[in-house]
Amino acid sequence: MKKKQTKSYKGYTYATWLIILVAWLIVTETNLVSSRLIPSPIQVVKTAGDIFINGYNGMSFWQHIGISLYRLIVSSFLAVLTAIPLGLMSGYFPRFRAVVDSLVQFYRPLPPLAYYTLLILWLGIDESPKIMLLYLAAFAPIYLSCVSAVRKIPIDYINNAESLGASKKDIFFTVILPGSLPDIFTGLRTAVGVAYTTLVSAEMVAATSGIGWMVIDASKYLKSDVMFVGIIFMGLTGILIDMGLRLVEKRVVFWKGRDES
Amino acid sequence: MTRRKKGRLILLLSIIILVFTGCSSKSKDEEGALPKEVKIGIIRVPNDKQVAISQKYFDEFFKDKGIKTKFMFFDSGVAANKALSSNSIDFAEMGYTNGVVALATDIPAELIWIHEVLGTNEALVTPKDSSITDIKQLKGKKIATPFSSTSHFSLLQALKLAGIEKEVTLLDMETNDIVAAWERGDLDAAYTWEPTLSTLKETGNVLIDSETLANKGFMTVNIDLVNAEFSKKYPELVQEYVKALNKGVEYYNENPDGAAKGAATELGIETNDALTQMQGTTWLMMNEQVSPDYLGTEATPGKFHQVFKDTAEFLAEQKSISNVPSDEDINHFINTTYIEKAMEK
Repeated sequence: MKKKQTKSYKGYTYATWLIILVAWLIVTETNLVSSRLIPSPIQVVKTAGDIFINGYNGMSFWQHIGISLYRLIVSSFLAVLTAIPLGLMSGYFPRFRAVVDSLVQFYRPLPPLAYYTLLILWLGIDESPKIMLLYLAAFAPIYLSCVSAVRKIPIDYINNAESLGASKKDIFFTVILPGSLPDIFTGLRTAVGVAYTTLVSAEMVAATSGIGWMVIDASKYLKSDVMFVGIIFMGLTGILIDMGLRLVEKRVVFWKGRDES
Repeated sequence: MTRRKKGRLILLLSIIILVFTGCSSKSKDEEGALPKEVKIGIIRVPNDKQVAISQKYFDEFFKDKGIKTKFMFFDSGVAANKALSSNSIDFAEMGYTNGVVALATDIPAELIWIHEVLGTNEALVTPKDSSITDIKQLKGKKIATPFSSTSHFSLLQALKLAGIEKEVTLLDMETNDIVAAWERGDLDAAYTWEPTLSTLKETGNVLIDSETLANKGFMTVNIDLVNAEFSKKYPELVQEYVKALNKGVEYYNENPDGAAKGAATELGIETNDALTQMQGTTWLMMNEQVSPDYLGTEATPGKFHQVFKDTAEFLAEQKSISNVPSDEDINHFINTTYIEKAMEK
């Protein structure tokens, strides 16, 4: 049922993109808008080709992508390692939640650039402040989804387990953890997305590499074609990363959705 | 539902297109009449413009005609260029390297004034406790500077002169972040300007400054750009504008302390600091602006045209800009008619 729905509306998605592309082409080819504001698609493709072949700022395009992905993966991995246990414990033990929750709620809405200079003061200018910034961005969504996942688990499950003689530890590992997995994955997907959006901020300071840095550098010289290439590529990799995570999700939480339907 | 959304999307798209095309045709009405407001971009540097503002010279030429003046701070020439590009300001102040970027990216603007020739107020500093005493020793080290600024350009020239331009790591940092990284000892050197420079000098030694580089043929300056649409419509106002700046220079020449005090109040800095910064630069009266050493006249372009051209070629070599503007473009971009006309009167 669900699958059928997504299939039948795919045409609309393609049509939307086609319209955008055609509008883009018309607007730029007729010189309605200066190429400084919006470069033509042809120009963007040419620039993309040039960057793929010759690199940017003496570094190949794939190295730029690679270093950005490295920052993203390391920070997301650290976030998973810390946010899942903290989140689950927060959800399970009210006392623990009282301690941790307010801290997370406090820093979560802070714009990264507001405290980035502090991170540089504390951590320096190498990889650590960049990874820290992405880590902070990724931590909150995973943590929050874990908390809500645990609290969503029907109390009956826990009571049943308890009446069958399960210890707190058993309940945690056999009821709470698997019961939370679907939500944890949703949180993880959001987290990687949020971290990805923070990438440009993270690479804004004292960087000489990375796809986000490339866009920042191009913006300093108003190279709108390079900015377009960077942004389009970031959008595409963002989608690819999410698709990858969804694949993993399907494998790990194979039962997801069966309960409700 | 989805169909309705689609309709909305198309509507949104057409609005976006309309807005973009609408931008360029905006403000073409009321030809001949004076504008209600002039928007002037400024940077946090105590120069002739700040003096003119503090002594209310702009009021004489604008406010008394019923034109409001709105001064807007820009952190860098990059931001000012973006504002010019979107037609949000009429005048912008920036390092001339961003003027090169403006011309190379076809931003409709004209260069009308040199605010100051940069000297000891921009310099390459290295921490006192490091063993580096010569630029050549920076090989393999980390040097920070705000990219696309005059400092960035001066740094690249200094490294090139030392023959190590490919053997250092350049870090693009804003001035406040440079101070942060410097305090931690993460940087081997930094090329920056005042007031950051003074902070770094407290624990650092100057390796080379922009004055030395200027003597070696790499002059760097801060300039003023006018939105070409504005100057076409109100050439007289542009003349008045350069007159106000000229009065600022004049006041500084006669009374440096008074000028420093005024500019310091405007910027919220110490008068002494302002004076030090001012003394590190060279200011030009109208007749000096149009002398062969600087802008020259429309009939006989000055030395600055070559500086501009060399910089454009250098930036193109660095792949920072994609094309080098022709001599004709540069002559067209640097417009001294406003100064020349203002001098006639």
